[in-house]
Amino acid sequence: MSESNHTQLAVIGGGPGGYAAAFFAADMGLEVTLIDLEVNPGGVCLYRGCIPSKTLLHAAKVLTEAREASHFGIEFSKPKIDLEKLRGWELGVVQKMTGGLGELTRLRKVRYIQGRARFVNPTTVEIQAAAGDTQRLTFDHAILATGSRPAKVPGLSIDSPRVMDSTGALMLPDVPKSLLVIGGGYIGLELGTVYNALGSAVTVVEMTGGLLPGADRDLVRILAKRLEAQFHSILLNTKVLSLNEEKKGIRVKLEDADGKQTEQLFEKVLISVGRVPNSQDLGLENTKIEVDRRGFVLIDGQRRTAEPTIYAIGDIAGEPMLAHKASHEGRTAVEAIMGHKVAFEPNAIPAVVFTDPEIAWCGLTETQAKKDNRAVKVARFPWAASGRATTLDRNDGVTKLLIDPETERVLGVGIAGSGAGELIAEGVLAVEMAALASDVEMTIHPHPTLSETVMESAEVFFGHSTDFYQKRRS
Amino acid sequence: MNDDPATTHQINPVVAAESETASETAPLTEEETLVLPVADELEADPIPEIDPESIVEAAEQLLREAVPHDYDVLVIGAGPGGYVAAIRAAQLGARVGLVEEREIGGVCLNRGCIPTKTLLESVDVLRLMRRASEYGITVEGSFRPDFTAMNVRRHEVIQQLRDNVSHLLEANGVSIILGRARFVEGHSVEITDAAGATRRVLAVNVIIATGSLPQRLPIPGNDLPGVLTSDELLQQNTLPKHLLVVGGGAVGVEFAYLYRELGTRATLLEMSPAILPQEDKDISQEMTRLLQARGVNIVAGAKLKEIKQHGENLDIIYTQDEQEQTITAEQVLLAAGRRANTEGLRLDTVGIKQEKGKILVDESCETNVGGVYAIGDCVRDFGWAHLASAEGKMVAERITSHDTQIDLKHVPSCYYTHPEIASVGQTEAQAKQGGIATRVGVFHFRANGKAASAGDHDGFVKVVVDDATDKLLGCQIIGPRATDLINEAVLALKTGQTVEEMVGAIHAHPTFSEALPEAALMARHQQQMAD
Repeated sequence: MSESNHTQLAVIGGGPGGYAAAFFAADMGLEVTLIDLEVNPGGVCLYRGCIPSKTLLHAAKVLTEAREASHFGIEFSKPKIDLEKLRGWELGVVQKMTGGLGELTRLRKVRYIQGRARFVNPTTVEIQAAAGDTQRLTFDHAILATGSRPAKVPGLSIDSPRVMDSTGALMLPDVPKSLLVIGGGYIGLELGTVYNALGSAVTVVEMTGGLLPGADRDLVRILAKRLEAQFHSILLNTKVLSLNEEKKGIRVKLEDADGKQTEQLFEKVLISVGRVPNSQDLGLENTKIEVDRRGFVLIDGQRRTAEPTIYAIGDIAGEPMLAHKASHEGRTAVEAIMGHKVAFEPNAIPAVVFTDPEIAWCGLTETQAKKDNRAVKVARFPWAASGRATTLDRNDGVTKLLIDPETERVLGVGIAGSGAGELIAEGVLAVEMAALASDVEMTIHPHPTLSETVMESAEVFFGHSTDFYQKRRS
Repeated sequence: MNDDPATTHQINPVVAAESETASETAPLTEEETLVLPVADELEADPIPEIDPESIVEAAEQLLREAVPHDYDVLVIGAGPGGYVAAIRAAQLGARVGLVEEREIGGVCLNRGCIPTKTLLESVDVLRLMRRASEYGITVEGSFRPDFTAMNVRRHEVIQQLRDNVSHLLEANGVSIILGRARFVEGHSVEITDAAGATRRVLAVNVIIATGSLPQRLPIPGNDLPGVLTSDELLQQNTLPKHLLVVGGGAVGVEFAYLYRELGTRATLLEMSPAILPQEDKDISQEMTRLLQARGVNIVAGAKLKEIKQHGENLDIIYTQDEQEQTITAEQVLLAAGRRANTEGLRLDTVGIKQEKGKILVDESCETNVGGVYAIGDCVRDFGWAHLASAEGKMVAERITSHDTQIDLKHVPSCYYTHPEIASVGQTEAQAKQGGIATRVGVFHFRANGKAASAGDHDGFVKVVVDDATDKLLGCQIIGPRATDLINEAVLALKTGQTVEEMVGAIHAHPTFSEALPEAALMARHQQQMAD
């Protein structure tokens, strides 16, 4: 351990929050050290989350299109899946992306230490390197960005190769004949979509009365309709009482809303009931950092913890646990450290569920408006009236704007349909800049594209959509 | 015919009652003209500048309304300009007639955007299938494109959309008049139906939206069998062995790409030094590279001279670097330019000014004859369907006394190849030409997570920013889903966003759309380095 082992900014955790913060700080002229357990930056998002899951979802899309190819005028015999090759493709994408981040780390002259960091005091961490030796690093400021991991359920998360969490499922060990997905949130539905396309009979069990709790029901309905046709079954208002490993699979005891209990055997089970922050074993007790009941680090508007030298961003700092929220918080924290006047107060953090069709929303939702008793006008444009959707044979979609009836400002945007995740970008800009419905309406959207549905929603608000007939009010 | 004087003025009163945003600059209604301002009001408010011409126009409109007429608005042509104008005018309370001599939906729906996009979607599925093995999906036996089946699907899609538009017109109370229109005098139009029967229709306002037609280049051999326009090519149910496409603009590039993907040998002949001459140089270069990689033979800087029969094939003779060259192909697609479809309208009988067939209009799309408007391709030979629609809406609103501010400045251009191209606003070169100092940010899709996971990493986003104001000047995209991504830039341009505001909006991860703020960030950094 040398006396000069000091850094201006220590970033702990190399996920999309951490590496974005480290890169931005380096670009702003700070001397930065990035500490992570993996060989390269990337975090859960790149190694065990967004990127591998989207890679598999793309393969699922190819498979689905292959099965529907005859509809597009392509004769196609039954596609076969080469699991090893698919895993190879997935790994290749992950290595390419994380390798690229490693390269960017070097180019930006960010010092990278592979290891696990613990706070010793408010300005020092002890790093246990992957190789086994430990070193101490002092810092002016630190950003904590250690992310989250899949939640375990006491009693259900049994130790069996047949019971997986999202990390295990993404390794794609095999394609089970039957798969039970516990939890109807976005992770369960995305991975359920992948395994269904690969040939598994997928059953989803959700404790509440609908898939994707929290999302607007009109958007979810469109996805649910397609999933109901594709999946083996979707069990709502259903609790999982127990899992027991047997020779041929996992015996699962379920209880429906009426208290009726049933048992079913599944070859494999995926538990996807949420994620918990990685706030343990960080030596937080050696600092003034405070953690709430669920394990989230408490922060202020600038992402500063109770310890003035330490900031926290991303999943560890609270909901929503989304990569793009983490990246933006990273920027805010760095600007705050640089002494800029800054606060993290976005009006619209987009949420995207990468199922098929995709669901995306930003800003105010109808669910939230109802909860807040807030008056909004909802203008909906069904994709059945979209020319582009018809050419794609994907009329299963809807675009809606939530508009303030007084000011006519766009408060929120919700989209269900193929490619909704890309279309929401315009919605975010509209909400962030407080666009009026007329701004969206009067912006020329190219024809024929799915983005026209955003413009037509604004036209619906004014009662004069071209492609969707509304009865006159008078 | 409506003889009741109480309802002949229905447009303005109805609209005024419904609309809260009725404009202050709308043409004066009869009642308003009778109210004279008192002296102190005149002192309190500066006298508004009134264009004497607008008073004359308003008076003329009132006179036309006073005469018994069949329609408040007569629209000629039911393409994306015409039917959109008709529906909007009807929604705003006008009595509307829509004349169409062929199919509802116009070129766009029947012979343009929609049929090509439907075929391109089939080709997109094919492209994914060809690459399936990369993702670990193998196919027993082989797969082949069934062009007949693709065309069946195309006709189904067209029929469905045509029915949709017909229903919408009906539901909104627009009268559809099938036949060919020609001006007789003033605002009186004669319509001849397929059986040869004629009727005369008088309208307060007329909107000409007759679109454009493919143009046959005036060269020897342009009428040989096998020398086709896009209309004729789309009617064929078979694929030529070798298709030579003349013209490297939007139509030519899409067709060359489409037929190449379907297995045809394709050659693209372009007169300019590079294809897509309207677009940014880097975009044109990237598309050239990608098309060549797919096997499209691109011959740029080539001037077509003549087409000759050569056995069962055609010899295409052109000059390049002043050398005469010949390429032999089975069929030729003439995709260089279109011309305004105005012949037969007898515009000269009512004195509507034209230039080389194109109808001359002012910024409100009004012709030199008051109350006669023209929108879409018939004013510019070749444009975008979405521009025609926007103009249609604007005219419909103006006619019914709404002051609309449809932004006709920022019109996105879109090309539906794979990857797609979309652009809006100024290119780097255009800004430079205009003497504007710029900063440019470029972000390549190969560094985008979604592009990597989809294995779809060709292309880039280019953002052009005004160095002095930090405002977005233009955006060019070549890459996956570019035609949907461009809208964020269109909205940003329309509302005058700065690069900082574009970077500030959070983009969902992992999506292609993240490439836009990344490019903006590059432009921003350029500034910091310069500082």
